[in-house]
Amino acid sequence: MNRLLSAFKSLFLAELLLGLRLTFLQMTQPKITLYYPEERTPKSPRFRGVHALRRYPNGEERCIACKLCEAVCPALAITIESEQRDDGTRRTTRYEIDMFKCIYCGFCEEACPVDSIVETGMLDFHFETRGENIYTKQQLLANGDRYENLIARDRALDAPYR
Amino acid sequence: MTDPANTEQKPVTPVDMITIEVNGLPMQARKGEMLIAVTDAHGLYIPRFCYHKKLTVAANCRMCLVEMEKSPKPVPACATPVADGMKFFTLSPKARAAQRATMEFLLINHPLDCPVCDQGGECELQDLALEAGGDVSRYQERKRIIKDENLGPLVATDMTRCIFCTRCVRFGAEVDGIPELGMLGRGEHSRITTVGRPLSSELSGNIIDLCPVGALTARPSRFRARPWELLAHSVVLPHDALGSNAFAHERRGEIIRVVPRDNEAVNETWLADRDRFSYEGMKSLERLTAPMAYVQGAWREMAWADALELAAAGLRSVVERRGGEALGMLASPRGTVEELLLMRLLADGLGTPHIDHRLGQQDFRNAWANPALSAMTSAIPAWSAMRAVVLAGVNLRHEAPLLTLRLRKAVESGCKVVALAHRDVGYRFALAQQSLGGDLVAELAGVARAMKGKRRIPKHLSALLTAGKSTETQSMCAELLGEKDAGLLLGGVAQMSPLWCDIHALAQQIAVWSGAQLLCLPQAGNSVGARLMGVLPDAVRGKPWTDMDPKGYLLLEVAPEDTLDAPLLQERLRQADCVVMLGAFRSAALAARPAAAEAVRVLLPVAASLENEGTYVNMAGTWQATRAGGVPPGEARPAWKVLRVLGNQLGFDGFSWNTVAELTRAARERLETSGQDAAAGNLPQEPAGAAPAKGTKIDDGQGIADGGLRQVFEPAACQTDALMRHAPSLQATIHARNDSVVRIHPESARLHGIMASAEVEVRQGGRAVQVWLELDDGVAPGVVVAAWPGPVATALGRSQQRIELLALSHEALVP
Repeated sequence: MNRLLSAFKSLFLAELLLGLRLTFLQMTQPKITLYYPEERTPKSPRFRGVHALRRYPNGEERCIACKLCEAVCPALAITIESEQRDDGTRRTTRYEIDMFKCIYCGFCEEACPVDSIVETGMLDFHFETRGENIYTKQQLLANGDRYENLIARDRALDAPYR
Repeated sequence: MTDPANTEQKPVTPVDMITIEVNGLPMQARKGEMLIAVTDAHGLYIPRFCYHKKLTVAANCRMCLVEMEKSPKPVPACATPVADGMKFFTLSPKARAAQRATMEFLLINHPLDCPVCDQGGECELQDLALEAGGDVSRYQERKRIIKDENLGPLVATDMTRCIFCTRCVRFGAEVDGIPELGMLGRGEHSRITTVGRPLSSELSGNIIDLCPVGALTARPSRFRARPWELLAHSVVLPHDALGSNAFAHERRGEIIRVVPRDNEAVNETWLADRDRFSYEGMKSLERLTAPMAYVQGAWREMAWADALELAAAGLRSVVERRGGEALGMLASPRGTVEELLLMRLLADGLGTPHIDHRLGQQDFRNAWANPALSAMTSAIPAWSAMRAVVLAGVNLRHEAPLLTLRLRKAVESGCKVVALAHRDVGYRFALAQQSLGGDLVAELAGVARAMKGKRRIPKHLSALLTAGKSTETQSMCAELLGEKDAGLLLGGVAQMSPLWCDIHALAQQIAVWSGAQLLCLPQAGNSVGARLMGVLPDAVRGKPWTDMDPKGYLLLEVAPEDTLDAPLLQERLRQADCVVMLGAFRSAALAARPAAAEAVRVLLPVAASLENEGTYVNMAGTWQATRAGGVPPGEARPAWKVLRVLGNQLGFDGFSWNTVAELTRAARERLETSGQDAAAGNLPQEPAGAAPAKGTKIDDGQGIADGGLRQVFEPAACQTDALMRHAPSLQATIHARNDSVVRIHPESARLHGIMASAEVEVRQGGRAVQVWLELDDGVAPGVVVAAWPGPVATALGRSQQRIELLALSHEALVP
């Protein structure tokens, strides 16, 4: 009996049709292909993309060189050097993130006492030559300036859950 | 109040030992010892802020409250003397509740700015808040804010963070002897302050370590690093004869700061400011970072291989053309034993008898008058147990700042100190008597005369010990030195004198007659090591550095300003055919054009002291190993490697050591085979009856009699070595400023027509220099005191020469 059933199945390509069932079903569904980068899927406000250093509304950088992000970074991607700025405050002279080392865990963001280093929702960035993978303080601050609206919106959306 | 340091030294008899119980564990203790000292000794930690083992008990922070059996209230562990059978509970709910309450009160006014605080990560308050602090503050009112103090270039303040433990106040009052910091006001209005004055102590940096919070932090390393990033390397600091032990805290090859390493036999838990902050010099832009040579009329950088070849060829050609006698070698007494051994071996290989390290000495009539030779073999802690000390020709505050703490301790327990000095240097202990004669030979002759009695005067002293009357001070010295545990200390001022051998001979005779210990304080961190390694001219053919006039020089970290006669050495270096210099810093004098166009000049960059590995021998003869605290900049290499390869280049046998440890072993073996022990205590002693003062008597420019002036050099506070001279924060202190002025007694100044402190020109022979002249009541009459090394010493050279003063402005002429 079993042999008969097996012969029947192989003759009429039952397994193949069964497998193609999903394909045929999908043919009738509406298409969700997006024309990236013009079109994008929705993202969580907690999405961890490229880093940025934020500023206060008065333009002063937030970072106070406490180096907690450097200490907590599991990939040792962050390098900070600091000294006393002329106005007597504690500031970084060097703040670098090696984006090849970074694993986008978000610990730096968690550790920051002044919400200075953040991971933005931006995920599309690339490098063309070796060395560009190290983001300097200027680049990170520029990121912060460029995406401040996005960053602020994400923080506001996530605030109720913190 | 009990001084814990004193209680520790009491002899322990079995009767004194008792047993107490802490948290159910029995602990042996001395009767009357404070509970916190007992638990510390047994490795049980009790929270504390105001308690410090080297300071008196204040019991004002209340953090160490613990529960005591049969006591209704918790008791402070730091102020509770233990008795037999007492039972304590440090972790009981009652003790914890008391600690939590104290912590809550402390945190009321303490700012929560740990992320910007330099103490963050090594803060006692932060650590204990984690353990005993609440997670939510109940305090809603405004926090108190205190204005910051300006304590000078070394200590930064954030007084709002102060928790009033008063450790810094007690350090000044009890240890250092200058109560510079004090507490003003009561309750919420109290504040720690200097009343607007910057710190003037040469040990002020210690309050940074003492502060349990971030109120007092180091200014040079302010905001530069976090404690968790730092790697600690055990180093020894060769800036003075003690060889203070410290940790160099390094991050990515750069030394961020230096903190003391406890060593009861050397520096206890303290560190002098110059030891603590001279590391800054390593980052100086003046550092040599690549080998350089003077080729065809210009300095240019070159590769190590080329530079070494050039150096070896230059030295070889001098020796081949004119013999080994034409070569002179000078080594810094701050080099390590290993480097000095290599210098010695190179001198042997090149066949030169002229090699020296006694750069701060100008009288070499008696080779036995070597400070390192008569170094007191007793340990440094013995200084706090002295009964009588005569300080002759020494500025202890500059030469060995930490030794003044030992002496202060001795004075507190009844020691009498007499100073025979050129000026009043302001010791922080009471001097029994001070004589500002300025003429050490006469002073010591007076002391010797006073104790001579019916003894016969040895032949070699007959010229010095002529008949005459001793002054009151001299008789007092004679009397004090006869006591048990008495010491006579000869310092740098005496050693720089042109009559040093006479001074030494008199001092030795005094020591023999009185039975007192004689210590000649070595001038540098490894003078004893240099003596042990034989970095001294050959007894027969060799000449000391002042007399050698070679065609070729090999210098190990010696610049003209490091010697007592900078102009002389500078001119000789200019004239020499070949100069090979191993140094960490560029030096204007060395960059000067040589006299002959075809002369060879090679500068080889080497590691500065804190980047170096090796051994230093301190004044007590202790061999102390130091580790490399940082990475030398650029192409600079440790000097022992450079000297070793130079030996290879010159084709000498046996230059095959690959590690410092092998060289240390070689140094020890060399001592053993030469019959000396590795310890300085077993140095060859001067044969009895040997005539010390040979040769002609040097004109010491005695100008007092005819109203003339003579300069006296005293060791500088902050210029002692090149590293220190390049440390910006240290050079911004009041001590560095004092190094750059000359001092004179107002009476003597008036005799020369100068009525007020002013800019003057000092002339000596054909040399002149313009400096600020300060009128100072504490200076001996007839002398002008200048620091060595310093601007005046570098420009004029030689101590105790006749000089003239010339006022440069009207201000000097108006009182």
